[in-house]
Amino acid sequence: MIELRDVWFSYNSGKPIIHGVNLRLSNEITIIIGPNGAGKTTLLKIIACLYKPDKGDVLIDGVNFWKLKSKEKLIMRRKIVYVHENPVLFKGTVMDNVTYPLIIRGHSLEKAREKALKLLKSLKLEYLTDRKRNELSAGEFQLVAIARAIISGAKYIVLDEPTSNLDLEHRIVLESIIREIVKSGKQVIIATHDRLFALKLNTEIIEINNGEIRSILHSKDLYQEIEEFIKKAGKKSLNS
Amino acid sequence: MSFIGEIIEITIRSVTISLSATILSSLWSIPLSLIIARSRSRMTKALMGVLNSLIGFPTVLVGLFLYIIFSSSGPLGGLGILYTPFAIMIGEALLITPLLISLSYEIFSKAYYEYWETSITLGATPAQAFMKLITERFEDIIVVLLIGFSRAIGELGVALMVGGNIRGFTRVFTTTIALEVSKGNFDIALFLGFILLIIVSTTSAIIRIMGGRKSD
Ligand SMILES: Nc1ncnc2c1ncn2[C@@H]1O[C@H](COP(=O)(O)OP(=O)(O)OP(=O)(O)O)[C@@H](O)[C@H]1O
Ligand SMILES: [Mg+2]
Repeated sequence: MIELRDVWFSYNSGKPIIHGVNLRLSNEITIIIGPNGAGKTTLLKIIACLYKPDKGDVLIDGVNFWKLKSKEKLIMRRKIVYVHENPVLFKGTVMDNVTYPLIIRGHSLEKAREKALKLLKSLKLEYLTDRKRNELSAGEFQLVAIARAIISGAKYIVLDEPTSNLDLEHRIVLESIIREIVKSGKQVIIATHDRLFALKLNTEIIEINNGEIRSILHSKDLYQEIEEFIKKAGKKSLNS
Repeated sequence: MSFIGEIIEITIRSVTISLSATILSSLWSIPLSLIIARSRSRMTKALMGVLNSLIGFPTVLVGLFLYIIFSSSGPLGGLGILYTPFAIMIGEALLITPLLISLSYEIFSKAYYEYWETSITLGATPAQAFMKLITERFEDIIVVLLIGFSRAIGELGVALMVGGNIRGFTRVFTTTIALEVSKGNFDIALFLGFILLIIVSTTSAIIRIMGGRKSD
């Protein structure tokens, strides 16, 4: 489990962006929603131990991450992987990218390639294996970045706006990927604006605004909201 | 030694010293710029302001400063490196440090910083993430080094003050040109200046070609 205790965070400007957040992430899937600039990305990077809070603690499986020595930090950090909202891929092919987390963990190139190919096949992305990063569509790019994160074997997978470039078909692919991940005992944390996606994942939703937790909802609660939205939108377009 | 032989010798010496100085300087400048780019502290901006103003630091002051340190009564006088190529190399390395830090900071502080974050979250050690960053931005870093090299090979103050312009030992382009002008040998000075110009403009041509290539 990942736990945040009274976490405060500010960028250079000094004004706090995250205000005393307390959070226990114990569900298989947790969704974080909130308007632009609410602090979702910042919060995810704190959860992923990429940003150090100014104040407060981040506990990974009960261990206080920022109190660890650097060697222990590496081991702990390898339990969590974060995918940026605009991910970057490295030079080289998709295969080079997807094998990277294995290579840096000391796997042989041959073994890493074997594993990567297996994963790409299961995600129906094997046709991309030898492509370079500038030969991918935005959606393919995002899926490759997610595949690269999954192969790391991290227990906690943190996805920032994973559906932003995906069409309906690939959203369904992503949804099944997430279900697969969870089945193998892992935990997924997702920030998204995509309420339909949040609804489909049928899980706990944390709503944040101005760096604070506003409410904790469930996908079901979104249903009504979306229904009302559609009704209103429908009326409007009929009237016009 | 023949005239041409001496010129070739000076060319090789100048290039070797300045190239070594650039590589030496990059050993601390690049990691330092990465540390600065990574820090979220408010000090960073102030520090970069100071460094940027040091880029134009008078070379003769760097030379004077090192002269005091390396001279026999100075703190590092015991090393006996005053008036050696080694002293010029150290001086040039220090001279171009603010330039190298400032230029590599530009590389690291922009979106490229994401490569570091991405490697780290994928499980890289800091050393592995550093290597990734260097390989991802290799062309840009070479360009930075070439700019540093141009500055190093074209400076006079350090080479004169801590090198001493000793014939066959520490004599480089700029010190030779200065000497020949003082002797009234303008044609030799111009000829040497021409070679220096070729080296520097070839370097900047390489910079332009590399900078213009879309790295993939
Ligand atoms: N590097 C930064 N330096 C300074 N301020 C930042 C930085 N990154 C984000 N902020 C500010 O922090 C606040 C929270 O940003 P964050 O990126 O966490 O929001 P978000 O909820 O992810 O928004 P979005 O939905 O647009 O992705 C915003 O007000 C933003 O302007
Ligand atoms: Mg965001």
